[in-house]
Amino acid sequence: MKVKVAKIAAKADEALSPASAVWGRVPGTRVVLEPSPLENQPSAYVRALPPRHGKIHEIEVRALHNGESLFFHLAWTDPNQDTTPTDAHPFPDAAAVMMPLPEAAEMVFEGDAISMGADNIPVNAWLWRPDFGEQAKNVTARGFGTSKRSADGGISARSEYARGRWAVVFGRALKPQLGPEESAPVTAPGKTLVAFAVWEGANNERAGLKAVSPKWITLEVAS
Amino acid sequence: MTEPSRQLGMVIDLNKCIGCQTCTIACKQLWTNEEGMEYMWWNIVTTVPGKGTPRGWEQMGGGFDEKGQARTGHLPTVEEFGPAWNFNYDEVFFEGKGPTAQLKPSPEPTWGPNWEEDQGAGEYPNSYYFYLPRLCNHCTRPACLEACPRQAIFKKEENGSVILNEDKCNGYRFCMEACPYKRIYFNPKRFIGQKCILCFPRVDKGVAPGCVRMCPGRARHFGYLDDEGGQVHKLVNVWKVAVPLHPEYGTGPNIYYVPPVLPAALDAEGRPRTDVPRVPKEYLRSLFGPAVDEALKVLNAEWDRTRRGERSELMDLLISRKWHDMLRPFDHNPAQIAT
Repeated sequence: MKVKVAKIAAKADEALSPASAVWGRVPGTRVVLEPSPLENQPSAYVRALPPRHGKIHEIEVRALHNGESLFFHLAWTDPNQDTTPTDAHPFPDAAAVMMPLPEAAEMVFEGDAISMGADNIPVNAWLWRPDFGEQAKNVTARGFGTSKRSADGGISARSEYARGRWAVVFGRALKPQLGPEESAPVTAPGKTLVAFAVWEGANNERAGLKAVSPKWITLEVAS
Repeated sequence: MTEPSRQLGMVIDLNKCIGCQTCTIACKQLWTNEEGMEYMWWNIVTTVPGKGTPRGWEQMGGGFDEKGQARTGHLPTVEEFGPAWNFNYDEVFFEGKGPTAQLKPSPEPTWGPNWEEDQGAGEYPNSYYFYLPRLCNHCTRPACLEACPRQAIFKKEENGSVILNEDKCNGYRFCMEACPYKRIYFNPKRFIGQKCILCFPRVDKGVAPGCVRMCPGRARHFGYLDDEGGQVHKLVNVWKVAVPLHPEYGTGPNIYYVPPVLPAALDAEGRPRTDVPRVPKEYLRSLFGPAVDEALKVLNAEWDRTRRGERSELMDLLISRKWHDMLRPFDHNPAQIAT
């Protein structure tokens, strides 16, 4: 499976707008999601939960770059718009884009992406939640239960919810401001791998309770 | 989880608790008076029998089954805990309306953390109730700790208190589901779970927790469970008159209760009955497990001893004429601790 990153001379502001006409010029890729398996979760409590998670079954992914920054446009159907929490539930909806970090590049193949990396496979994710504002979190992980978040990854995110559908755009410089241990650089032209995750907050999805694209997807960046 | 070298425990004498909530307010003032914490009562006293807070918490699952496997639990909501009520202070105190304006909460409350105060159960003249102070049990096998995928909850090595590290917490709330006592709250402002910290900044300096030290009824004993000279050890391990709440939840709670012995039940003519207690034994067993039977037997026997004018070491322990004996070695005066 492949997601192509088209080169389009779009301004960052334009590309970051989920409803912008520029996204009409980029073909969408349908990515099927599956409930994340719980058997490798670090918490026995989570492992014992009845499998009711993974309510979002597919997303539509678009990607472009403008020579400086890389943008992902994710859209999916979700009848419940769960934003800033005022109570223990619902949880906020969320979405993430994950790429291997350079140290992992040789270790990663077209295998599972569901484990959030491993000891020798560090990964970098961009995490959006409606209550984060316009800044997505930069996440690094080496397997379940190891994720670390920071707000200074230079990842922008904007979202729109309309007619029962979320559209979220992530944007970050191809050459990130954080070092290669924390942030995955992307070269144009070039190839890397990508995976996606979506959480349906109304279904109490959070942490390992999510829908994921189970295999790594090739991300082909145009020159 | 690393085994702590020692375990702190608390004994709450339900015969001395008068339900005044001074412990509750001491805790509130110390730890839960910030934004997002309005509805939190890490320590709360409820009247039992009752649904408590969160409403119906004993039916919310969590803890471990007979085989020691984690049981799934319900995630309690603000409404179930009882939301913080807003009062019209400005209108009453500052708007010159005199006696026409009266203090009232809004919106109209339908539930609160102490909603069933003094209701209890049973039929007059044999109705009954007692007060049950509840806080984190600082369990030997904390279900919250095992549920957290981020290892944000730990047991302090030196005293076994169960602490939630707010910096590691991602607000996933599995701990809230897993805790069978439902003593963890979600702070929506900070997107983290929050719970009793057994006043560790005080305890680290030899000062008993606020709820213990502030108790006007002197109902609480505090100390290490293995301290053979300490009252907690004596009441729990030697006299065995202090028993944990819902031991069947499987977490090994370290807050212990001296069960209540209410005034005698009355017969149709209003004479005291000696054949049945006022609080049904089955009810106390449902709270404290079968060990409550022996605890009550010992308590009643020692009570009888004092009624006969004899000395009872147990009654002396429970009375604790020298208040600081209840806290040793955590009897330092907070006013004299350098900050």
